[in-house]
Amino acid sequence: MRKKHHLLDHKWQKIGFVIFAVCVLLCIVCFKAITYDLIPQTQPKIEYKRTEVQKKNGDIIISNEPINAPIGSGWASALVLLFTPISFALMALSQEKLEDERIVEIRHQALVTIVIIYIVWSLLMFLSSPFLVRFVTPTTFGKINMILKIPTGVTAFMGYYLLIFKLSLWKQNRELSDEE
Amino acid sequence: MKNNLRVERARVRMTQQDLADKTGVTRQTIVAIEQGKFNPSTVLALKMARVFGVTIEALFELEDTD
Repeated sequence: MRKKHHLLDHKWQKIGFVIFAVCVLLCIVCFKAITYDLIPQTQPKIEYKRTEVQKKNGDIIISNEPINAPIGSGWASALVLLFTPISFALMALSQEKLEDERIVEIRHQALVTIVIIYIVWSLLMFLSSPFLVRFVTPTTFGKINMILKIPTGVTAFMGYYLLIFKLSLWKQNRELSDEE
Repeated sequence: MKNNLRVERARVRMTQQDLADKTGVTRQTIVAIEQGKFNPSTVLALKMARVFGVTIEALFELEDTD
């Protein structure tokens, strides 16, 4: 009896890793090139207005400030943004070289762990919002809210899942490799 | 769950890697089973019993705490 795993072949994991490595390399090269003015920054910018509501001495002040924000960091960041989720998906959804039942169990544990973390994080976000609105300024609240929202999203989910799974697998393999 | 995997392996002079190759799992999985850190599935237990030519009961036995 053979259990069917709905996972890609191991070679896709290698392909995913190569894509991710290229993305990281591209980030470093572009960052260095921009830092040392090797390539001109030809980022297109978009102008939009940010509406801020502030309370000063009992008066409500509404300000509309124009902001020049870069649309992106050029073709490199567009490629990284496109290929990072693809590489994460390939690595997360492909099986190990020898995918046995112990590895499947580690995979399940990693998935359960990340789902629990996400539920706790979402609850924290939901519960902290009214509390923060009451005690902190809108700007600080915005910053805190932004920090709380960072780990959400499919790419981050796959990234954390991969991190937990690979670390657990590495830790367990190291513990079990001593004996012969 | 107690197991006599190490004893049976010693009896037929088989390494963990040999057993792993014959049952289609990693060597670390065999170590985990021998140390009682991982309980194999029925299929894997049957495969192991077949490799050693014994019954499952001869390889694995339930403890009172199970």
